[in-house]
Amino acid sequence: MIELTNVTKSFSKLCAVDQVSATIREGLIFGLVGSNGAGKSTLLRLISGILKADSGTITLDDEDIFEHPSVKQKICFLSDSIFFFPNATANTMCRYYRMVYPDFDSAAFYSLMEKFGIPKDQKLATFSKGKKKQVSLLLGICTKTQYLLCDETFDGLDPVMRQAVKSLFASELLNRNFTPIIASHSLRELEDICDQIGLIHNGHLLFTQDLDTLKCNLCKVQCVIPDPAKEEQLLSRLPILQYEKSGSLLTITARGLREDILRRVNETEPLFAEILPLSLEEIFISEMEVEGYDVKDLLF
Amino acid sequence: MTSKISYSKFIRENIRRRGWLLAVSMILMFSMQTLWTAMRIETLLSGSAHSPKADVASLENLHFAGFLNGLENPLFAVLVVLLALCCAVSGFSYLHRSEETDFFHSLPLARRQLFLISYTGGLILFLVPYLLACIGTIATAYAMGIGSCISIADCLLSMLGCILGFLILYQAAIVAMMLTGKLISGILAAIVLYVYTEMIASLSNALPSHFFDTYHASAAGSADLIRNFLSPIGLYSHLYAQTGWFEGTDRISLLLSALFAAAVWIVLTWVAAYFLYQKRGSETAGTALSYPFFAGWIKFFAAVPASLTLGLFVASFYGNNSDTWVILISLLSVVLLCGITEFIYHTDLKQVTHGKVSSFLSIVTVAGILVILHFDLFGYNTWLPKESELKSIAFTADSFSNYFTYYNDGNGTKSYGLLDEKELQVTAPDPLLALAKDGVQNYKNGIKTEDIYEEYADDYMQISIRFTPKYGMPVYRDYAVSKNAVLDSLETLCKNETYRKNLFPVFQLDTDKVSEVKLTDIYQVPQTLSLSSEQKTELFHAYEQDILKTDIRILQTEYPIAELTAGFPTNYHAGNDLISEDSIESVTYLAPMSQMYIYENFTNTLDLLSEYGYTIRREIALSDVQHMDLESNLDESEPTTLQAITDPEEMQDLLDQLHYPCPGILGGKDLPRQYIELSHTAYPYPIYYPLV
Repeated sequence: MIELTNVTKSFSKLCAVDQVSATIREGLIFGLVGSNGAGKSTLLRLISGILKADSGTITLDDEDIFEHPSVKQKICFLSDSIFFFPNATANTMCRYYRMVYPDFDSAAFYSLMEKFGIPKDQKLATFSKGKKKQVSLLLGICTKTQYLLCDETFDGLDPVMRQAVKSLFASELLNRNFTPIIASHSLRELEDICDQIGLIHNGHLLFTQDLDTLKCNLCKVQCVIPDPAKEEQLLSRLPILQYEKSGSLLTITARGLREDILRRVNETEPLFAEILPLSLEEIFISEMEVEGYDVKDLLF
Repeated sequence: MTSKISYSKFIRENIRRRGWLLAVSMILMFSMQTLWTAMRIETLLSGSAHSPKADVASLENLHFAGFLNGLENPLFAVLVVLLALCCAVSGFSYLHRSEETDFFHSLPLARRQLFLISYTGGLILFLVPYLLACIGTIATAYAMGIGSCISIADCLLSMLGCILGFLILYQAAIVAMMLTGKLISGILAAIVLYVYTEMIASLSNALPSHFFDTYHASAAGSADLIRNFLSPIGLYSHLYAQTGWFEGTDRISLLLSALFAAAVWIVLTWVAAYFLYQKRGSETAGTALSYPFFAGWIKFFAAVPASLTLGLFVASFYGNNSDTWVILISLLSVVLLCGITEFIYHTDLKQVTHGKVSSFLSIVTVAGILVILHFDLFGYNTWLPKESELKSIAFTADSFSNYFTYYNDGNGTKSYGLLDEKELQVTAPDPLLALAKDGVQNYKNGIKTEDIYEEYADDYMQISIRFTPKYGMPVYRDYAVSKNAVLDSLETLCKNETYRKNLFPVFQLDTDKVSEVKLTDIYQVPQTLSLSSEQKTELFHAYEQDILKTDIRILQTEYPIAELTAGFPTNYHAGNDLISEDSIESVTYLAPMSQMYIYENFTNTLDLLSEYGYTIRREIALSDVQHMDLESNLDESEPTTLQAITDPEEMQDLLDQLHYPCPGILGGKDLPRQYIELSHTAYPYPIYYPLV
């Protein structure tokens, strides 16, 4: 289990991560979402021991991560900007990873390389961005580390490869103690795969929740309420994250169980009321709007 | 899980990634050391148009070890500097690229492990090619048949010097890489670290030398200390000089001090680099400085000395050494350097005016230094010690170097160190303190050392004085003083026999080492005296007696009639007991100790010479003259005229005016406006005589 307690990291005058506390449980896929510059990459770099926190603690099974190689052996970090040695081939990188990570599974790596159709003796510098991502991911998975930190790793992968990687993650989750931590903008991808979500904005971690709980606790309702007084009453009673009125059609996103919210809407005797499915993207936008990050402000 | 790693595997991997550097090192080491040395030996053995053919026996004292560390091969010394920089930059440049830093720092390796891997990898990249090249060079020398000239112990010492020198430069460059976050700023910082103290040392000499008329150049003894021990480049060159040519126990203290300084440097820079690596934030990759807090200070400490150096350099480069230009260029430079530094920090032209406080401080400091120096606010030029505070005082005159030839004992000639000679320190401050007071007064009256040769050469001369206080370091000054005053002082000083013996070179001459004695009279054709060793000793003894009893004034007011020259065998040439590269090429050359002038009142010498059958000619006989020209330059603005003299009467008249050429102990007697250029029967080529 990775535990962050009041972690703060500043770069010059910019506070990239501010008093973040969170717990990342083992055996689940943790998705880290947030706006651009929210501090996702910084948080991953802090967890992987690249950066030292200005204050606060980051521990893995109660041991500090920073400058503790024995603890860091349980973590593999895949950066957004991939680095391979100059003139390196997949073979070269495999040899290096084997040296660094004692449990690196070369056989699995070569087998996966073959399945993904990646030549092992070709210089990696000649590969496309997507292919490089694939090699990076395969290297990361084959390190057999307990935690795999992926920073925007799905970006640049084609849909087939994304699916393949997801199934690879699923298979690893089944076969060993594996906890991927994925930071991404591709909320749709995270929605499919993540068990737990952390939302970060302006360096603050707004929440970490199981995705199912999150979805259950948020509800989107579309309704038409003829009586304006009752409509007003409803809006004041519901813990609304977002609402929109188009003509007489009212769309509300509110916190709470769907049955509770639907009951309250029905109490207003609407002409029409229905629950709409809520995507992770909508949850993200709604939560961000509460924090003042409103998409409407960015529309011209 | 364990954190133990196989260093050897990681180091091998590190070296493999820098294979290009290994290849380049190998090629350059072999070509610039092994091949170069082989070519050099071959040239020495086969001879050339300019040098005679040397046989192996004559190469026995060749200091071969100097070929292994750059002493005998300046290009190789430069190569070591470049390789040190390349090894450091290639090993730690990953700290300057964020994606590489992220990669390496995310690995389950501690910073100290990463440091040790890169550090050792870089060291091996130098050591392996270097040791192989050295083995190759020694083997080549053996193969060329000069094995007997090689001392393995000397070679090992030389190699140690080179390796220590490399470590000093390598670690300084690593420190520079740790302090910066961009490759270009890292390289610039390494260069600055290499030359910074060198620049400070030069400035500590050049600034007062430019602004203070009484500044004595050799007062910069501390500058040499800074250069040799505090500057990486200076220490490196000092180190290879001491280890590349070890001359035996005489210089062991120099060698040990160099080795000690190197060891201290290596330990300190290693600890600094190691510590900085631990503390360095990964996020600084891509920024100019790893510790931006020091940005202003770095700018200040770089811009101030650099601008003053530029001011002096640019002004002298354009041949204008006036204070105004130095001040103007220095101020302009400090503004520019502050802007350039900010540009390096931000790589944005719009931000060159950032760091206003540090820029302002830099400009004000430069201006302040220049104002203090220009107006001599602390009274440097007029300073005089209190008599009660003086322990001793010593002096030398510029003219001494033209009048005396000191015996070179291998550590340079004494003439350069007269001021520091223990025996020439006078404990009774008068009359030298009076001379210094004269100098100060002359300075106040506008008679300055810088103008002395142009305006006051006939009556004034430049002297240097060393004041040794009872407590503290000696203080040196140069003064323009009247020749009469100097003569008075010298006369008083030479009343002391010990002083006289230490001033005149003949008393330091080891007559046992003299291989030949030459006598030169007014004909200026040196004649080798056929003397037994006892006769030689007697002759020098007689000359010593004459020096001891002579009136010092005569040495300035009268012309000598002849000159004795002592010659030494080549092995004693230039004071070294080893054959230097140059002496191999001139094995027959004898470095003489000349300028032992004989005056008319040197009766002991003259009598002995007469007893040995040698007569000194006082005049050139008209019948011996084959050709005579009168060369005149009475008006400096006019070109020199050359007039052939053929009229016997006129020729005799001019011959009567000729003297044995000698500048005089206080100089100035050899600066006439007219010369006689004549050839005579004893020597067919033209000889110059000043016509006074």
